[in-house]
Amino acid sequence: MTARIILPPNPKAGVKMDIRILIQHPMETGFRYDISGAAIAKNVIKSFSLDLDGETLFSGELGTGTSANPFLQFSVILPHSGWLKLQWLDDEGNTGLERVLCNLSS
Amino acid sequence: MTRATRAWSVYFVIYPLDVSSFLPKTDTMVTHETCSGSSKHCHPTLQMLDRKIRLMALNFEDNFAHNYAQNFALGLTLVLVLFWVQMATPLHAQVLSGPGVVPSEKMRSGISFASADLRATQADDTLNPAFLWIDQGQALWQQGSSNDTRAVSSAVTNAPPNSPPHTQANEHPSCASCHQDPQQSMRGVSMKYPRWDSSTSRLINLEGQINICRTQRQHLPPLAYESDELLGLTALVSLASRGLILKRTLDDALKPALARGQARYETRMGQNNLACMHCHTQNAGQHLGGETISQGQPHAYPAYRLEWQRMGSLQKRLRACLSGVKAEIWPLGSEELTELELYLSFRGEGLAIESPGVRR
Repeated sequence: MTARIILPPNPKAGVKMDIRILIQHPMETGFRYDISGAAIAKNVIKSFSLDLDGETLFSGELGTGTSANPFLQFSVILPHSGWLKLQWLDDEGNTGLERVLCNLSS
Repeated sequence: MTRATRAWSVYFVIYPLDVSSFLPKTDTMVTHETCSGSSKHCHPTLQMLDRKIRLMALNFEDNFAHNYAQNFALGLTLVLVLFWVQMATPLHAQVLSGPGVVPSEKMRSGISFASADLRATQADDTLNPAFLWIDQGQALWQQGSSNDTRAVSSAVTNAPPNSPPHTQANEHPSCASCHQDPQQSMRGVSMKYPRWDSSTSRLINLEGQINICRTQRQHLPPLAYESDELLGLTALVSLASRGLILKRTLDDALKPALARGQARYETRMGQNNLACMHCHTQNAGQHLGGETISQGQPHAYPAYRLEWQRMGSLQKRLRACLSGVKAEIWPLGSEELTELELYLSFRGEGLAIESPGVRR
């Protein structure tokens, strides 16, 4: 499982910018059955958070209504440059981590 | 081009050349008349011969000049007609013909049948989920394999980080160690597949070629069809050709396989008793339930498909169609599917490569 943190080209300090997040995940709803009729266990991303040097910028909880490979976008004014760290946890207990360095130009 | 039209064209092209310029000039005759007669060039027999040749040449030229105006008009018309025929004939029709072929002026990318949202998703690389797989392919390209001997050996032996790499590391070179940057070295490569491999006498598609590289050059186990790793590498290589116009070269070795692929495209199959062409050539653009039927073009694969909620190869897409007409679903990597893939690549000539595409 992998993820992408997509920053706009040339992000600037003090200017609102859009950060896009794309996480590779099947987001199994738990409502489906396999070919032998057995229920497929629910496995979705329970929670995720995006931090800037340890300070949470954006976090949330996802449910069965979210598509596979969820795409999330939010607007933020970053206070300073630093490492953006995305973490997530799914129902099977798997965690994921993706980091990207954000350099703001003044 | 018939013999007659070729002859007319040749005549039209060569006529403007001055025929007499190939023969002895008039000023040499003057020299002959004033020479002493001792030189062999001034021999009376030779002089007579010389005059005869020049006379023949003048007659020859007169006859042509007499009919020049009408011949010029006729020749010009013929050349223009030939030129028009060449331009009006689609390039791929010189290779393919048959009921499955879409005329080049009617060829459309599958994305043109999709909704505005889906088109926007494909157009923006930051929205396109296929790049999750490309990221994995890019990582795999650099490291060769997730169980790279270099990483494993240093971890197992607890070697200090600055020690030279394990000697076995060279047995598993990465993709990058031969091919460097894929966006440079792999440009145009994906459209050369499927190709005919003469040593094994079988068709090999891009997935097969990547596995040949892995087993023969990298000494690693082959990647499973439709695994994230293989899709990632295939998509990475295909991405390098994005924007290029799909163009195939037909060599003799490919012809039997291409004919078999074409026959599969045109043959009815399954409980629904449909051939590929019945939907994707004859009824493309029509509606089937809530869906719009595409032309079945291969230029966006491997693609991210919403129905699958993941990336998939062209062969996976073909299997979905086989399931739709309730036909026997050929195995991934089988000869049947690869021959169909080959035919589709020739049939799609002229489209710009879109891979990695997004499809419904």
